[in-house]
Amino acid sequence: MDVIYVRLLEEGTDAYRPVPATRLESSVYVIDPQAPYDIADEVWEFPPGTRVIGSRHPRESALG
Amino acid sequence: MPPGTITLGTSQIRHGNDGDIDQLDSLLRYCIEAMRAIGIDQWDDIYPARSTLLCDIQSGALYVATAPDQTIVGSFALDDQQEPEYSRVQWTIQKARVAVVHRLMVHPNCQRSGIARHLMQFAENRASELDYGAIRLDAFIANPAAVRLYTSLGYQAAGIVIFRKGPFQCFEKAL
Repeated sequence: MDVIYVRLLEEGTDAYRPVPATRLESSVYVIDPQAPYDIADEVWEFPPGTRVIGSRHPRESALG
Repeated sequence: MPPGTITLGTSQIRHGNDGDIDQLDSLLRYCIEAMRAIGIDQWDDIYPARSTLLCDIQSGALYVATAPDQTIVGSFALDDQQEPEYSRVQWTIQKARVAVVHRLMVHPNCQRSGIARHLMQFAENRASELDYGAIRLDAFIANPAAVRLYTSLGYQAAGIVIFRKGPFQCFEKAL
C-alpha cells in the first residue's frame, strides 16, 4: 500500500490528506475503500475507492 | 505569576528552560510518531532536532504549555527568524517588525482539546507585547489539522514554499 495526497475541498486554502492507496499501474492508484473518511469532518476531492491518476510534486534539500 | 505566563483552564504557558529539554524531546518524538501513523511525513530525525529545541530555549524563544502536574503538553517557538524561502513569498502584510512562529506541537494525547489554539493566542499576545506588527508561519499542506488551525484563527494564506519534506503553506496575520 502506498500513500497519496488527496486535495481537500472547502478548506479555503491548499490542504491535502495523506491516504492509503494501491498502485495499479504507472501513476494510477485506487484509494483504499477502507480509508477512514468522515465527510462531516472534511471533504476529499476523491472519496475512498476512487481510481485516480497521481502526479509527483517537488521537494528541496532545505530543512522544513 | 511571572511575566509572560497565563493560566488556561487546566494548562499554563511559560518560557521553556534547560530542564525541559528531555520532556520536549520526548514530546517531539511522540508527535512525529503520531503524524507518521496517519501518513503525515512532516518531521523526522533530521528536523526538528533536540539541538533545535535547545537553541529555542537558549535564545528565549521557546514556550511550553504544562498540565497541572507540570507535564509539558505543548510548545512553540516565537522569534523573528524567517526562513530564506520566505523572501520569495508575496506577503501582503508589511510591518517593520515581523514575528515568526515555529515548531508548534501538542502531545497526541492532548490534541483536539484547544491547547494549540491557546498556544497560538498566547503567541499573538506575546508578539504584540514585544512590539511585533504581524506574525508569519508555515504549515505542511498535507497536515490538514494544522492548516485548519491557522485559517480558523484568521491567518491568511500568502503562498507556498518548498522545503525538504515538500510544500508548506505560508500564513500571515496582522496584530
